[in-house]
Amino acid sequence: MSTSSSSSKKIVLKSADNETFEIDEIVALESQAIKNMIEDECADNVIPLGNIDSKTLSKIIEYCKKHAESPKKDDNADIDEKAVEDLKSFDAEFAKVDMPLIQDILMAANFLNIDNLIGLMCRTIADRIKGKTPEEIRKILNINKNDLLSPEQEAKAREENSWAFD
Amino acid sequence: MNLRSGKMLMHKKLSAKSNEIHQDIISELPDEMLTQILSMLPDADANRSRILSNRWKNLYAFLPNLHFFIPATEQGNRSHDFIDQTLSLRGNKPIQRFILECHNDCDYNRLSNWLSNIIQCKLEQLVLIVPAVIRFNWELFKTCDTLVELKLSGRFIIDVPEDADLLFPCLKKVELVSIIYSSDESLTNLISYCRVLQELIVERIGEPDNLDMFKVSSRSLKRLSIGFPHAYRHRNTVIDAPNLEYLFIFDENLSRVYSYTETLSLVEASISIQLIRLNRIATCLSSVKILTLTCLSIQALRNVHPRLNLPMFPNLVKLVVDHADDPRAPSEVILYLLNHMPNLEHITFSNGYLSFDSSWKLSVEPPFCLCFKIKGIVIIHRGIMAQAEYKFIRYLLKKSNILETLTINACIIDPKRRERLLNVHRGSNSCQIEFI
Repeated sequence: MSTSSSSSKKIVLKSADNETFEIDEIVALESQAIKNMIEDECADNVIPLGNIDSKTLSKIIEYCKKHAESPKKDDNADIDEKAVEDLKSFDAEFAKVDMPLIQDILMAANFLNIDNLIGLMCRTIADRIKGKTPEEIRKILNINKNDLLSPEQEAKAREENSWAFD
Repeated sequence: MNLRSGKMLMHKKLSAKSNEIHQDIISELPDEMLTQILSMLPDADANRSRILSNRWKNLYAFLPNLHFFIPATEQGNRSHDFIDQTLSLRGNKPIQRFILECHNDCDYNRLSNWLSNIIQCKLEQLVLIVPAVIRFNWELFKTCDTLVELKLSGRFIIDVPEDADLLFPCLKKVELVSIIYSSDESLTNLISYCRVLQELIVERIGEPDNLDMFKVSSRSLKRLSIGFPHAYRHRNTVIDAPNLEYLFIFDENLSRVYSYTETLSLVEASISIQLIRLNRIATCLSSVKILTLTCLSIQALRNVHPRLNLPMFPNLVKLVVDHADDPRAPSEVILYLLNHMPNLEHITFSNGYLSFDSSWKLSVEPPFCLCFKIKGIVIIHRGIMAQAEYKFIRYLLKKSNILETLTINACIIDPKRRERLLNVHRGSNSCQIEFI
């Protein structure tokens, strides 16, 4: 994946499965972690992201591109309402992916320190587990079955929060 | 640096994937992220997360919103211990909202300890629902400069002395439900001493609460809702809030005296009040844009309107007439109202039915707003349309020249009458009739 404009400075990201992504620096700066690296001048030509696979990385780049293009809130007070709406519907579409990918994106967004994307993924997960029973949530989030509470612990917790289980 | 540790993590994950086992990725995320997810859920959902797994069981304690409940059939001190334990786990981490609901007598010494504890945690919203009679400890909150919202429900005794001077320097909203007041002044002092208070909700339910005069005096107050549903010995209502924008009054208990400071900023009001009291309050409402009158006030109007000197409502664009308990709203009263609302654009009749007084003369000049301003009429929450009502609706349709829609949900209009209604001559060419 590469961008068409050639004038701006480029950054190359390399995924865990050795795929390279050439992107505009401005897009990469959406990641606070990469921004820090560039500012500290410890970024080489190619930034290896050994813990992010290419599928996740391309999703994240798609997100950063869109958000880098959109006017920032702190630029000026009167941002175009249409642009805000546009970004909202982009986010809504972006989040329509399966739970494993959402979790991968969240993990990577946490690692790359992209605040908005963390917020979006957390909101998406919250929406999907809202109103669900603990059993359903364990399934949705694929929570480790070896880490469950003992029946006694669970009974105690249910009693302490009885109102929440009614 | 940071990236390297991530690399390690990835290897683990890749190998797990290659074994076709999808890992529990979410549980590997840092606490902050999991609490962020939980904080976006309703309280009950967030609470239930405690039993998801060992990874999740203590996260609840670190959420910005805490919600506890002490059930009526408390086994030992389990809920009490749980609150102690949660508060000690989280230490001084800021609390946005703390809700405690007790359905039996809780241990008030412990309650007092919890309050002393949470007040140190930059608490912003406090909701206490406690059925037993206890004195509310104002001393604790005197200097709390983070609390923005307070709701007390139950049998708290409110005792605010004259020399309290300043309470809650940042409090913007207070809700008092079934509170006992040690004197009339306690309530008055409380409101006066909260210098930035914007919203006050007072609901007086249950046993008598010692209040003889309901008096609030505040320059900062913008929204006021009062509900006096039972016949207390309460006699006077005094509202001195010149900057009020929203007013809700439900007063079944016949306050003898209503006294108000003129408020020109009032935008919206919802009034349920009996008989001649409306007379006292009507002048204060004349600046509103949106007005809801419920059954009691309609009754009031019908009984007193020949003697009532209703002011004009020059700004009013939306009127809701809700007559749940008193089903009859005579056309005479409605038209009398409309005659005082020259710029009215929307009117909603909710519940009950309209009647067309046989004594009323069709030749009387129709209200100005009906002819030239009203764009929408909504008639909802009702059953069968009676002949008298049909006649009145026909009148409205005929006289309104710029009406855009008439919406009716009379679910059991018989088909013949529906047909007739659709064929009624309409004053406005573009008027649509919608049955819902």
